[in-house]
Amino acid sequence: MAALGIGVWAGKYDIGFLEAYQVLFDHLTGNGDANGMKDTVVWEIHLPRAIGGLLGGAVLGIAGAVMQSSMKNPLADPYTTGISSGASLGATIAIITGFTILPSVSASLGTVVNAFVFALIPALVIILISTFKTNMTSTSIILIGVAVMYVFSATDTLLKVSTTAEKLADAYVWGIGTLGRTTWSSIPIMLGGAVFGVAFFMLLSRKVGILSMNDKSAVAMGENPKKLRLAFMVVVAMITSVIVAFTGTIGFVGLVAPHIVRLAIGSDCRYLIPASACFGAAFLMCADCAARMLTVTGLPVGIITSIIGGPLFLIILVRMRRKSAW
Amino acid sequence: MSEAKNADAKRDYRRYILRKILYIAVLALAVFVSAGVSITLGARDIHFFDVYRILFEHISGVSYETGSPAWWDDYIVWDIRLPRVMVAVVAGIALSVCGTVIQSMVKNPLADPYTTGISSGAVFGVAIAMVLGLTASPSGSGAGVLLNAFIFGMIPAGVIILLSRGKSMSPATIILCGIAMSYLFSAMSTLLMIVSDAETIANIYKWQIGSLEGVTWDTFPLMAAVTAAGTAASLVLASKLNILATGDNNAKSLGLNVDGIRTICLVVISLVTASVTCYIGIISFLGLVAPNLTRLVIGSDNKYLVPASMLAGAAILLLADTASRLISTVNVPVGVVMSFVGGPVFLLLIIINKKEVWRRTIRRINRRIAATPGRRFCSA
Repeated sequence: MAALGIGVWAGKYDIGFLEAYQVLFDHLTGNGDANGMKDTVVWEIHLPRAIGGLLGGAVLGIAGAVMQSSMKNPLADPYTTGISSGASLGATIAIITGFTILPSVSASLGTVVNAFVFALIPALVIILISTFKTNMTSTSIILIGVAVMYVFSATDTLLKVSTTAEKLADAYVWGIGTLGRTTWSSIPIMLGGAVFGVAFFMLLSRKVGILSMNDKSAVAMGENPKKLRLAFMVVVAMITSVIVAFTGTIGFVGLVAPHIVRLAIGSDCRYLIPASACFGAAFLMCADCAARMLTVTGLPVGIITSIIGGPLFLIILVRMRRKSAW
Repeated sequence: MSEAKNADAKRDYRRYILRKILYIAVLALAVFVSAGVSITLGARDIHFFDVYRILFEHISGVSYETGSPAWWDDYIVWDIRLPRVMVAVVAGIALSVCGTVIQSMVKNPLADPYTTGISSGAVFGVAIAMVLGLTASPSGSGAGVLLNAFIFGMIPAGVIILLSRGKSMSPATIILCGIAMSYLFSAMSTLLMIVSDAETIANIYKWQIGSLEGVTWDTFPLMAAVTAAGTAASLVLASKLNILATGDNNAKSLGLNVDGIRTICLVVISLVTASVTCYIGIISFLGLVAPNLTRLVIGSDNKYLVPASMLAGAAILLLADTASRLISTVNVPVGVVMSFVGGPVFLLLIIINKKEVWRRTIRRINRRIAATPGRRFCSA
């Protein structure tokens, strides 16, 4: 399993320029001046983007895996449940109106906090409704997420419409999800969130596995499934909002990654979670490379992931009655 | 004894009809009044009652000296402000007819042109026409764009109808399929849009979220014609839809060409939605809110439901537009307002997920059939 993860991990680098490694290596060893221009381009523009993709993909992949397992719902993912759009709304509010919930912290951290608070709303709505209405099917729960998302995107649109055309185009691209905006300054926060998320869920992967059985067995094993699920959702909302605040809503990564991994290695959470993180990272970077190579101007990566993820979502939906993978 | 029962039944029936008529009358009044209010809004001050006078005078052919204040009033009311109102009314009618028909056909209160992905398909068709200049018909003008929107709107509509024929899928699952398709289509239209410059993106974006800003009489004829045809077809089909609601087997044994009706509905829904989407973009949830509200008040007999929710749709869209213009000075697109109203309604419908209304109709039809001795077709 580890080999698979490493293989995927390594695979993604082949897509970049071969030369890039040399430049990076030179930079690290202090020979950067020799390359001049190339060094700047690779180090200042391409590398942050690549790292952003790596971290974003890993977080979204892990978030998807945890949500799918803990909610026992193959369709769950930060995007389909509305968590991403909540985070996106929070970030948009911070960017356009300058309003943050914690005014004392710095601008970019304030954006993250905003994103987090708004990301909690759909998460809590879903948890609340699925607690009180026990007969909800997994599709209904996703539909609730979608409904919440519609309201959020309407608010989002409202904010965007009131700005200028130039700003709108910018906000629009950001709303679809792009890695083009990640710079070195955003890496530390993203890295912090990602490391925390990965570490948290790797350590607790057994508990996620317990949640993926039915609740009675979880109780029998000495866990409180409701509390645990709530805690997981809060952490998922947190790490997702850290990423979304910098990249915008990149859809379906959290849906695609766990499903493909599950095909290969089954649904044991101890392996599923790290493997999904690796696959998510690889997937997002591949998508980003494809997005950059397809056109001269470069597409937002969110489009690529949607075009891949949309049909997959449909397939899962149609085949859901055969729950073989579970 | 039986006579008293008879009188009771008659009174109940009269009440039942009265309620429907009352509902329709209230809606008609709402449309009329909010149209007036909507026309008063704008830079030039025109009084509420003057609006009706001016409109009446225009229709009765009074002419004014060019450049006089009365001429200006007439020009502004008739040529600038009335198109917006008329387009809102037509779009409202169109979308709620589509919503009603598709809901009745697939027996799913969550269906509407937006949630089933038809609108997004239509937008993709338009985006192809606008960005790439490819149209299905060589004329390239309004009709060509409409045809494109129609063809791409048919795809999600067809998938939804096919999926809902099998009994294995729950309503929520089917709608989720629609939403997945709308994700896909909007990703593809975004793909087309993103290659153009910032100005174009802003333009297409504003059009796509559904806005009545800047509509003129040019928009009107094609949209109105298509909507009129679609509405007429739906009114004719209403009683057939009632029968269809009892299930395929029942409908077939009553001599209904089930697949034929589905195909006609498919074409009607896609065409009407396309005609609206082409001109004013996606107005989300209108086709969801209007029929569900109406069904709450007057029940789900399609013969009354279709015309009543038509009016409800027109009233809601017009009210939403007027309200948004009254409340804020910023131009809030009406599509956004509808999302605010429709999103929570959608949420509520998912949570309630009641199949009662449909069963009630079936029971009623059953009773009617039972009145004919020796027959009983439907199972509730």
